[in-house]
Amino acid sequence: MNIRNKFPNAGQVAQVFAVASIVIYGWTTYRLIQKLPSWLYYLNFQEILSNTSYTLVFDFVETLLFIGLILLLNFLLPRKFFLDFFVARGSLLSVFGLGYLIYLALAVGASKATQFPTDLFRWSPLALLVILTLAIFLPRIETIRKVAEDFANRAVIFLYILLPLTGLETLIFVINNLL
Amino acid sequence: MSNYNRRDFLKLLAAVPAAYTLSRLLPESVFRYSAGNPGAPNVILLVFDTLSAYHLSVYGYQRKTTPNLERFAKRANVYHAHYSAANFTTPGVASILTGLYPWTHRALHLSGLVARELAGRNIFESLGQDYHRFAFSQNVMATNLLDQFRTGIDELLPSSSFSELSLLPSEFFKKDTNTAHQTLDNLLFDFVDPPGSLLFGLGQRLYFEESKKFSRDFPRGIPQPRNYPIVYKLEDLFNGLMDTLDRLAAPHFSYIHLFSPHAPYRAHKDFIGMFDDGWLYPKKPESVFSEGESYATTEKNRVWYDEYIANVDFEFGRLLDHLEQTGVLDTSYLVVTSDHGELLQRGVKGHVTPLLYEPLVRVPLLISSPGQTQGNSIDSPTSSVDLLPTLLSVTGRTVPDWTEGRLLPGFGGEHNPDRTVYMLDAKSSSSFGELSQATFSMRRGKYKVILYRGYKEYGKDVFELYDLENDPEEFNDLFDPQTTLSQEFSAEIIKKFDEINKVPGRKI
Repeated sequence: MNIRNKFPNAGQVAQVFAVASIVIYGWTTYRLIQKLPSWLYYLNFQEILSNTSYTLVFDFVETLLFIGLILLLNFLLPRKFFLDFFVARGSLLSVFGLGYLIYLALAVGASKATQFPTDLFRWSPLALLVILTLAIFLPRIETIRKVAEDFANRAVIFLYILLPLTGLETLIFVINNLL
Repeated sequence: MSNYNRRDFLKLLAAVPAAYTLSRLLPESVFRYSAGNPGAPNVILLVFDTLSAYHLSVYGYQRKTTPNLERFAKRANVYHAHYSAANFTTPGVASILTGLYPWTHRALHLSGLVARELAGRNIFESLGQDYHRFAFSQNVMATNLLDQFRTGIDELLPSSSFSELSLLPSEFFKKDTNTAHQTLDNLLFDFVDPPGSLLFGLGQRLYFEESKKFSRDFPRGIPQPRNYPIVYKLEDLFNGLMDTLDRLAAPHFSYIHLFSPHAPYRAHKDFIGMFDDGWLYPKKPESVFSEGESYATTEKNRVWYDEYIANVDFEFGRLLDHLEQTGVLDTSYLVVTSDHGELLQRGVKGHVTPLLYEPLVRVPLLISSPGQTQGNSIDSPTSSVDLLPTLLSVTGRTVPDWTEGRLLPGFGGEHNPDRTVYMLDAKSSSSFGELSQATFSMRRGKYKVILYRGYKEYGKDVFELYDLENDPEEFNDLFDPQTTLSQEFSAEIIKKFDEINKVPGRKI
């Protein structure tokens, strides 16, 4: 069996990548916007630009890692459980999985530094299993699958903005850290 | 050269092993002044974070929190009216290191920086290369400032040094620490608010919480710089510092900033319960800026804070013993101070507040000169901005004209009980423009006046006036617009505030 047949094509990966990017970049941007008013009090424009370079570089690496996990999952699971509706399943997994991480992040933020919500994290494997199950089985409902696929297809447009911007900021990041 | 022959050379060569053996036998302190400036004294500037003079028995506090500082006071100049220029770390440390008041250096915010054009005005640059300039701060915000001064620092240790566990991401980006600190420590891997990074941020947090070992020695948890993923034990920290001070080439200037006794107050078990004496601090009226802390909670925190101070003092005692035994105190200035105090009253716990009451800004200052054996009490008001000119002066440097501090009494400065010193909190104002919202305080003689400007809680300029000689606890606000005293002080503080607000800010 050709191992390439176990993987989706580049276009499909790009669509799921786009969905994951929207959530990951979106969350960081949301947090950055919350920080921005205080940064404006003591950082100049150049320094704020440097800060954004870190966020975009980390977001990009994080998205790659997340896509890597999805591809690994796709590789490990039988074809009919993931590859058959890769875009829909990958997109739902991105939205639900990363959405759950946002929920955890909010819980951690609300708990403050000294009261980590350990119990919440103990239940996380179960929660992630439920999310995976939903991501696998919901696309069998045609409407949901079509909505997920259409969204992923349109999300690709964001990559035309995100990727060049990330490239530029990576350059700033590299210059700041190597030169 | 012609007077020396081969036989003389061989004799000289034979002396080399003997000299080497002798060098190993003699104490290391004999060879300390071998660096660029032979005979110059070392300076050890030890800053304890959040150490309010109001909680130290060396300054008359009811509980015996600092027996070792008291021991040190018997051989040091003790400043009884010493003020930090601000009420939290960033502006407080910036004032110590630059000799400038916060309205000039402009490091007004938690992760703020000194005005970029003034970054060269600091004690490290001013000391010059004759000194080995060493710096270490456990407080990440102070490290951020040190990083700004790094061209003048020969050795800068990361905040995580001597710790049990550290996952501080910015320390991996040594060439761009400030940006990494702003973005990674305070956004993507935020420990206070939700982390901006979903996979890495949460992963780091989970790993840190799982790796932090519970220790029976620390029932309230192992000491940790609030908001950052570092845990440490005071004993290990002080052992590390002793080793470090032993190895530093002389003469050295060492800035050492320890996070304890900053909250969370996590004393070693040996100190827990030592102040269960039932004593309660007098209840004071709630501040407009009260955080809603109940009196009972505040008093519980007072006990915890005092126990933590006693723990820190015990470790300081070990350091003091070590410095005495190794002869370092005979060749060094040892400065003990703090960047700001702590308020546990009026509904407030901590120091992130616009208030400038005495416990928040009156900090310890004890300085022993090389070989000093007698204690000396100094009552004149002094400020943290005085440290830079004083330390430059005692090390033989010219005091720069840009500093806003003066020589401390006892080191060439005049004893002036009517001297004016200032304190400022302006964390809600921009570093680049006017101070639109600020608390500004002025101590002159026995009086202290406080101006609150721009707060929506007040809606207008509000003043407080205290007679610290007769009311050191600031119970009775004497401000009455009808009295001449109040009119004079309010006019003067407004005049000064308007003057400092003319300092041109930088534009973005």
